Amino acid sequence: MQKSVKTKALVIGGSAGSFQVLVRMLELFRPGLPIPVFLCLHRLKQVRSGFEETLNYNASLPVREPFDKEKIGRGIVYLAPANYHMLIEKEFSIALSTEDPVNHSRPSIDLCFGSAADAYGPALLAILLSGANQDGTMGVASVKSRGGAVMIQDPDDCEISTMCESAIKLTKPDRILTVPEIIEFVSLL
Amino acid sequence: MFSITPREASSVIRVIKSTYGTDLSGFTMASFRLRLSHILKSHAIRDTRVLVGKLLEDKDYYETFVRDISIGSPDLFRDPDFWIHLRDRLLPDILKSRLYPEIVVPECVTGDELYSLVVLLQEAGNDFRVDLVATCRNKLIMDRILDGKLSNLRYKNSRDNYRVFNPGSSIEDYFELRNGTRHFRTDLLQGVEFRLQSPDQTECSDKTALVLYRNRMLYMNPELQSTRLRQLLQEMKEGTCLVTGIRETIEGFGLDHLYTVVSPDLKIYAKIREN
Repeated sequence: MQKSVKTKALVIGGSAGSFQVLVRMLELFRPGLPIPVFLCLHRLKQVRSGFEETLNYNASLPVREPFDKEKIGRGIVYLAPANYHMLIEKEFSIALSTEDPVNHSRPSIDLCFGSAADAYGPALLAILLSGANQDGTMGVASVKSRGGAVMIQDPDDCEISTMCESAIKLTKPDRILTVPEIIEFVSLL
Repeated sequence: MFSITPREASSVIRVIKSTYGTDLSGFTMASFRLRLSHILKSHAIRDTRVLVGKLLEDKDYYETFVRDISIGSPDLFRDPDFWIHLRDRLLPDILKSRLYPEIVVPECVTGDELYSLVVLLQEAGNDFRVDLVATCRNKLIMDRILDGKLSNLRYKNSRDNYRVFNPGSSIEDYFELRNGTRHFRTDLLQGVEFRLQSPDQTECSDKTALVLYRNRMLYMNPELQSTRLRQLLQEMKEGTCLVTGIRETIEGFGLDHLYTVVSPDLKIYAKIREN
C-alpha cells in the first residue's frame, strides 16, 4: 500500500451500520488535515437537514454538503447531499447529479469512488464501511485499477456485511481492518 | 462506469460540433462520460469509434443520441418543500399582480418538472390560471414527454415526494396504465405550449412570471452556466422569478446586478431593473 504522505484525497463510503464508525472517524481526523475527504453515505432522501449538523457536532474538520461546482479545498469533509450523486471532476471541483440511482442508491458510492479515482489516480485512498447492498463494489475496483489504495471494513466486524463482502469478492483490498484499526489509521493521516 | 476516457468523450463532442454544429463541450465532463457509457450499453454499441461512425452517417441516430445524452429531472415533486412553497406562497403572490401569467420550463428532458407543475395547477383548479410553456432540445424529447412513460422506480420516488406535497391525495390519479406501464395522463398536457429550443429564439416573453430552471445547470461547466444564466436573466422582465435547484448556485457569475434573492434555501430569485 502506498504511504499516506502521497495521499491527496480520501473517499469514504458507507451505508447501514456505518454511521457510528463515521462519527468516531470524524472526531479523530487530525485538525488541519492537508487533504479533502469525500463522504458518500446512503441516507434517507426526504431528510435534507440535520445530517450534516449531526456529523459536524464533534468532528475535528468542517463537514459540509457541497454546492454544485464547488472548488475542492483541503481539510474539508464533503458530504454527498441527500438524493444527489456526488462526482469529483478532474479539475478538482464537485459536480452533483440527479441521474437515476445506481444500485438503488443516490448518492452512489460507485459513482463517487469512480470519479474520485479518475481525478486523483494513485493518490486516492478509499475506505468502504458496513452496508446492506452491493454499492461500492465497482467503485473500489475503479480505485484499485487506477492505482489507488483501498481499505475495507472486516465483514466480520460489520453490522451488515453485504457491501464489504461484495467488494472483497471482486477486488483484493490493500487492507481489511476492524473498526478500531480503521479509526487508528485515520487518526494518523 | 467511467470506461469512456476524457479523450474519447472529446472526440465525440468534436464530431457532433463539426457535423451538426451542436456544441456539447459545455457539459460537465464526468456526467457526460457516464452518460456516454449508458448510451453505448443501451444502444448496443461496442465503443466510441462505432458511435462516431453512426453519428457521422445517420442524422436520425444523432437525434436519438441528443435525446439520450440529455439528463432529466429524476422524478416528480423532487424537493417537496419547494413545491409546497410554490403552491402556497409564490404562485399566489404572482397571481395577485398578474393576470394569466406565463410559466416557462426551459430545456425539458423527461418532463418531471412539467408534470409536477401540471398536477399542482390541476389541483388548484380555477384559482391558478396560468399559461405553461415548455422548451425541448428536439422533437424526440418532446414526444417522450408527451408519451409520459414512467419507470416503476421513478413512479415510486414520485409517489413518495407527492405524499409530502399533498398527504391527503394520491398521485395515481394522474397516471394511466398502458400495456402494464404507467404513463402520465396525456390529457393533462393539452394546455401546455411546447417549443423547440433555438439559439435565435428567446424563451421568456413579457408575460413570463416564473422560469423553472431547476437542476439544469448541474450538467454544465461553469462557462456554460454563466452564459445560460446571463441569457435567461437578460430575457426576463423586472419581477420575473427564476428558480434553480437547491444545490445549484447563481452567485459568483458577476450577475448580481440582475437579480435579488427571494428565498436562499429554495433558490428563488427575482429579476431586478438593470442600472
